[in-house]
Amino acid sequence: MITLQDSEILVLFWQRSESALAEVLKKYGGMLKKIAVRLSGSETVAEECLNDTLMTLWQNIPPARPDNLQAYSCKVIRNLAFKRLTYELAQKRSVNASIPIEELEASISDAGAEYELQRTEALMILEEFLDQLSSEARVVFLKRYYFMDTVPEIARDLRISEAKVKSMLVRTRKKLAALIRLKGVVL
Amino acid sequence: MKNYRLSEEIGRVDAAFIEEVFEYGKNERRTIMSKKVLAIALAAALVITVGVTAVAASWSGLIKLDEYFVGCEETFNVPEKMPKAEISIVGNDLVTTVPEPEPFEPGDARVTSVVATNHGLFCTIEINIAGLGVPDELPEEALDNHGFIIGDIRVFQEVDGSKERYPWSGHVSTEKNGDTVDVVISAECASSRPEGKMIFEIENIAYLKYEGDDKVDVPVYEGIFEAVLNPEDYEVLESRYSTNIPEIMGVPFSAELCANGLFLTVDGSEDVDIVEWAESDLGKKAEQVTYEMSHSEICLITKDGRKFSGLLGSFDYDGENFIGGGGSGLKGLYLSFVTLINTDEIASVTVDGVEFTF
Repeated sequence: MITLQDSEILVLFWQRSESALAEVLKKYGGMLKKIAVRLSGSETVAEECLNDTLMTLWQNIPPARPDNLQAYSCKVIRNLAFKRLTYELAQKRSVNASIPIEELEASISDAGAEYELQRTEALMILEEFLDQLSSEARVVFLKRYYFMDTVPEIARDLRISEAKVKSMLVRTRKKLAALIRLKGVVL
Repeated sequence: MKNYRLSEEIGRVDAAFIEEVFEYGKNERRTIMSKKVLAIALAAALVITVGVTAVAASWSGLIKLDEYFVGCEETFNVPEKMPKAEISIVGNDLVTTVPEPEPFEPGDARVTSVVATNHGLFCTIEINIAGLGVPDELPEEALDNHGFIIGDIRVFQEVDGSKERYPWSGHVSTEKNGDTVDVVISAECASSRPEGKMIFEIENIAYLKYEGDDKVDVPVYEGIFEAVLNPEDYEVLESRYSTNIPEIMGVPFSAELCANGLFLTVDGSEDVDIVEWAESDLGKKAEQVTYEMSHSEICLITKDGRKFSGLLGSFDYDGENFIGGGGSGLKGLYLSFVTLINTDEIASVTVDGVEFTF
């Protein structure tokens, strides 16, 4: 399968050529859908999110000219899939939130947080926390909680043992809980 | 409504963090490539700054292992609160270059350099893939940040004619350079010391691709490569043992420090069992105690007073790493370093403030 360079795909977007969407789908479709499936727990929802992602890219580029089309696309689909998740929750529908989500949210309860973490402070804490991690720990953390990869997938990708991945995740979540506590989020 | 604030906001973190994930594997390879230029002045192990600058760059094969440990540097994370000390890549005598590697015909594999410790092996293995049909470039469908990989690697040791599996865990990295595939293996083992002839069986050369949502190996060469490390080609670096026996949670522990890890063992008693100790003496579940111990804050203090802490990103431990005792109990905790340490330079190690002196 021949795929275009990101810069070539961006040119297609700027030329308003719909083949840009086919190229994104060909190059990143599998990865993008996987993120949505893992977040939503539904193939159907994931397919819809993928279509919405392509629509968003089409609407945003131009004027946007992302430095990294892959990261940009991932961010779009992740946020769309998450919106869908919260919508389903608001409708009080049964949603199987994936294990990584529950794991990550446990960092707040581990910190003993007694009020709801606000969006801006959550983002600030997360970015400060990620900054403090070693490169390897950061990649493991994001693979698990951003890309929703399984432990065996991470171990295989990074060529490290599953035991190491598990222990790194436990450790980093503990650090995150400590940072939340340190930042005074906990009353 | 249940709120998933962290999981939601992690989707908004700066794109640079996400790009790093995509680039991580590539960077590793790029580092290896760029280090080839620099490596002539560098030597084998990543050690705490010791002032030793002897270089052994002329050793063939040593560069590959050197690159591996250069790659480990980022995991050696010195937190802000500790005095920053330089971490140097210096030449020392940790690495042994195999003096007479096995013949190297197409289809052969050979060990070219090794660091052996009481609890593991770090080896560079070269595979000659000339004429085996391995393509020069990755196919379009391959996940290119992984490069060519190996399907599996198994380690055996042969002592007195008896060949047994060496029960390791750890890391493997692979790099294809023309007609050679270089495999660097960091094989750690809490319970067994490398001994006798070490045999590495490497299965298949492959690449990764997506198949649906899964990543799968696609072999480009199917077969077994065998590399042998003869006993005369390596020496095991001896461990150092703590000169004191401090108590952790009321139980005396002794420590063994080797180049790739720290072993804490309940001292001197055949009767102490960590599970029993946890449940009866401390009134906690064993899992809780092992969790607490395995999340200890570690600090290495060098003879000249420098401190390194926050190394937990470089440690590998969990319940599986507890050392089995004589009976059904568990008697120790293994904290493995990813990074090789020149243990001669360590004066003491603290585990949650409990100091072990060496």
